[in-house]
Amino acid sequence: MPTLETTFKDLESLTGMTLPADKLDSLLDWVKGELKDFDLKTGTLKIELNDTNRPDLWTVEGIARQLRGGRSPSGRPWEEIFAESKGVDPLPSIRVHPSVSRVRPVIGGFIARGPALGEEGLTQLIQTQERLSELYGRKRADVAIGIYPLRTLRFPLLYEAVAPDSVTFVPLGSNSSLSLRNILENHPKGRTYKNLLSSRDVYPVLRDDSGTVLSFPPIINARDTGEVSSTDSELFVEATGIDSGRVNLVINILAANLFDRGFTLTPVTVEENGIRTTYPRMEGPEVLVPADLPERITGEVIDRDLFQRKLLDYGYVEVEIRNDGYQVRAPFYRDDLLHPVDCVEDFLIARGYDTFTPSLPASFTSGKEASSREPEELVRHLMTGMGFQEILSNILTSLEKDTQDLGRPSDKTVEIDNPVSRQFSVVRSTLLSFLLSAESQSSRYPYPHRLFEVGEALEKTSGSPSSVQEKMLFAGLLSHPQASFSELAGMIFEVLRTMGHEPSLSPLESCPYIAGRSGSIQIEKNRDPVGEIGEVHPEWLERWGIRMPSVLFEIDLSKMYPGLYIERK
Amino acid sequence: MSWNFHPLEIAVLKALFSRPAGEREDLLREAVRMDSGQFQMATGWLKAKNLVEETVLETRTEVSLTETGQKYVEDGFPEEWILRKLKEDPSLTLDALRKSVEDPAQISKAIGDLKEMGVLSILPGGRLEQGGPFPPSLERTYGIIRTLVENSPLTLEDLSPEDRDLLGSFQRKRGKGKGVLRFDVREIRRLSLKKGALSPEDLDVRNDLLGPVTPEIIQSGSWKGATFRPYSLDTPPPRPMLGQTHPYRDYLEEVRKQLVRLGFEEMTGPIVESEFWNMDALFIPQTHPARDIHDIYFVRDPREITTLDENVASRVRAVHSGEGETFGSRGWRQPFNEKQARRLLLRSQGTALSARKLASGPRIPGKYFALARCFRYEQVDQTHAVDFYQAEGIVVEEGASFRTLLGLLSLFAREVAGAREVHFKPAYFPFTEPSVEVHVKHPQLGWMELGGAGLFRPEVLRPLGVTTPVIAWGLGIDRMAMMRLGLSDIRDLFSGSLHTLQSMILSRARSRQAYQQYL
Repeated sequence: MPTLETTFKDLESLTGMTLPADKLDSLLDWVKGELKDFDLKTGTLKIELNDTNRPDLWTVEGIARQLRGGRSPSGRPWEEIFAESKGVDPLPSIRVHPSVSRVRPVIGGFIARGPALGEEGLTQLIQTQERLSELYGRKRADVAIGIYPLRTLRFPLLYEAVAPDSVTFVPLGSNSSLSLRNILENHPKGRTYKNLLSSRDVYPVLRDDSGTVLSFPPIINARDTGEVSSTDSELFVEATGIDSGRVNLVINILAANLFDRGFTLTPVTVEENGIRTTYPRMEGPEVLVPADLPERITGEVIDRDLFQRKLLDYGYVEVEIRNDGYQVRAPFYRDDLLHPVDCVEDFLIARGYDTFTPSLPASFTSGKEASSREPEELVRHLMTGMGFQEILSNILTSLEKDTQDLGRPSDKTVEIDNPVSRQFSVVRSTLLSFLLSAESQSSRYPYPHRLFEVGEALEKTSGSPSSVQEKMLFAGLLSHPQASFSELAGMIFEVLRTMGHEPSLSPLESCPYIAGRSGSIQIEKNRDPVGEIGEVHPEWLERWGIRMPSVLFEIDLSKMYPGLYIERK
Repeated sequence: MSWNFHPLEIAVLKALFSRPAGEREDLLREAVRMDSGQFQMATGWLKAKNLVEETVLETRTEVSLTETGQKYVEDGFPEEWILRKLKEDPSLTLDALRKSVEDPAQISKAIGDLKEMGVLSILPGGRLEQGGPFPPSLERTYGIIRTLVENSPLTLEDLSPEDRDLLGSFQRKRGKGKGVLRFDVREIRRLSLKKGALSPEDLDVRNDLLGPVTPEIIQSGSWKGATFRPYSLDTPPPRPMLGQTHPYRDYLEEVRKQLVRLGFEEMTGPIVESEFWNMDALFIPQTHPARDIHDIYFVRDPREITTLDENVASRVRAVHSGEGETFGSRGWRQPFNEKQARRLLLRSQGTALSARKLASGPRIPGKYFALARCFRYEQVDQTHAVDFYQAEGIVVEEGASFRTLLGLLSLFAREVAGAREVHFKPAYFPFTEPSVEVHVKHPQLGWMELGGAGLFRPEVLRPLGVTTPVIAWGLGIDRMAMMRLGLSDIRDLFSGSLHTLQSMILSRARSRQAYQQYL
């Protein structure tokens, strides 16, 4: 989730309100934000923004704007956003060469003139750029942003795709002129975002009318044209990407933010195959909210004027009351309204969640535990009666513990494709390793030790395609100076008898048991065994760092009650 | 004063009366011919009765290798290993290094130490660079540790003062957790009788007193007219082994019972789930960050389920792409990738179970819940476990609304969390609109998040064939359980250590007491 770092002072000056520091968190309800940290000494705020569908709120300007009910923190009406470009004809333009259509087809941009950015303004602009391109733009795959001081740029610009070695320039963070290919291979940013272009035979490049390189989207700006400082007051902003809707939203958010900081804008025309598009496009999305929807969602009678007023208070541009509902238009920096229910939620937020009186669901329904849990509960009950202590382990473990450390093959273990660490890289196929690990951690606890666990495990069944079988395992360990096979077998048999079975053993040769002291457990003659039991060989005890005689058993409850666990498979 | 001595105590006391200057512990034990358990018991009792005193003659610290230490000596210490790796690959980054080992925490610590010693620096982008030589003191320390392979245990007191300091500070810095060395402090002690506390006559026990009641005593009637030797009540009784259900599972059981009482029916389902049910059916866009390779665990083999229910899948595809029957939605307007939908993962949220339930034709009205084991893609630390339990559920009812949603959450706050004050915060989940987070005021800890909820979006319900409004809710029960069990480290919930379990059981008892007082 996006996290924003800003200062209390900046937020306060943008909202134009005196913000009560102790009520800040509840104020942030309006933007689905959560105050993560407030350093009273430095006045630094950390705000986590939860709405992944409203990138406009991932910026301090956006938060301030929403808190002001959609009015610009600059105090000017939105109509003035293009004040300086009135009558400018033709508008500055970007020419798009058809060669980019296969690589990164969409570009948009605008020019902003205003007071110098200032330190905080620059910090926020860079943060916004990062957050929008990393999170909303999915690590620049969907959208990447470039910001330049306007100074020497000569329009029209040319956006085209070229052969990797045909263009060289000095990128930010370097002192020498490098080819596009060289940047991708050797520049830190090139290496980070290489995967976005490495399969292409041409790379996008943005140049001005004199042929000076502005940037190599989506990788890096040129050093001489693309380094913005806090004293810059004239900027050119562009975004490139795959989808014009996303590029446009990012452009609109940046335009709104700069206007909020006192800038005014000149739109830029994009010319492609004779088609001209001008950015930013200022029409917000329109939605018809059916007349009865607010009442169906809230569960109470909603005054139509109130609905209208609250949406306008929340920053909606137009809310027209009609017979069939409400025709609403959202502001240009939002593109999150997928369904009329989204507008209803905005109404709820604007009115305040705490203003609704809770009422209980009306219908009677009878509660019920899942029947598949019955065997699990029964064995837990019986095992504690036998004096066994229940343990609970993580379902993820390492391949070594699940297989090698028990002397067992790995073909049945389900592995994770993208583990965070080797320690948790497979789904357990057995509980035995957890019991041995628990015992090895508890050697200083008074003996005897009797441990058990009941829980899910997975098994891969071979075949093509392979499949995953989910099991409900039940396993235990007995450990003390005289612990023996027969003592544990006696206990387990008693448990199985109580469950209505007549258990028997058949020979089993398997690690980590002593040969001749382990067996398969059957609950019915001529049926597959449901489990195993055996004395652990000292060789394996040593491997686990256990110095006490130990006996293990494991039973698969899903083999005993196949009907109950059918949906686990 | 009359004494009641156990026969073991008498044996020790007798031996001490004949040794007025006292005796070294080990020699005394040989003299009374007891095993170490009996001897410890007897001397323990006597010390508790203040009759025997001990003098430490000498302390010897035996140093040996732990299992981790053994491994380090064989494979090299993390610091050495890191520098070697860096020599092999000068472009090595911190991230790559962490990924290549089983326990990244250890690497982080070693890197931190190397940084502190000025041996290593971290460049922007996480690249590592060696800035100074390996410190001689560490080299010397590792040298001494390596001699332990041949020569273990080593007595700390036999080393030169410099070497002793080196090992000592090395051990302190390492901490107890995954130590390299084991320090066993052995004290050579002398036991002696406290002057004037006891006279030999006190040991003249009546020989006619009866010891334990045995079947023979009862059957032969030899108890008639005899006196039983009184027991000392100061002797602590032995502690039995724990034989209880796990406190965390007990807590889950309480929640389960509570939900059943409130009219909810339990759902169960697979922990290996397709992206379709875990994500697509819940209208989470295929490009959403929560579906990133760094946010969920994918299964390596098998990679995909073979088939999707074509009916459901085609309707879900329509609302995602925004083409076809979208039930009034613009959809995500992104292509829907069927292969991605079939990809198998470890269930990341219990909501997957709700989606399956809705698709299978739930009873209406109906209330359902699950206590589902879910998996989280995160570095494990004291507040993050790799797998955890989530309480999730749905209420399917004509007329279910935002107000009933708030009513239900207030009920949970009261019945499940025992809270009286509730605050509702706007929230965002891709599958619900409106969405709400519920915060409750805990009597001791103040405001905390209890869970999230909302009304399922039409884009979730309609493709699954549901036209009734549905409330979806989820509660973060692991946090509540940690409070109940007095844990500050979530990893302890899944610890196999009997000591940790014991302390959880005790905290639960204390918190129950506190809770009863609060009522």
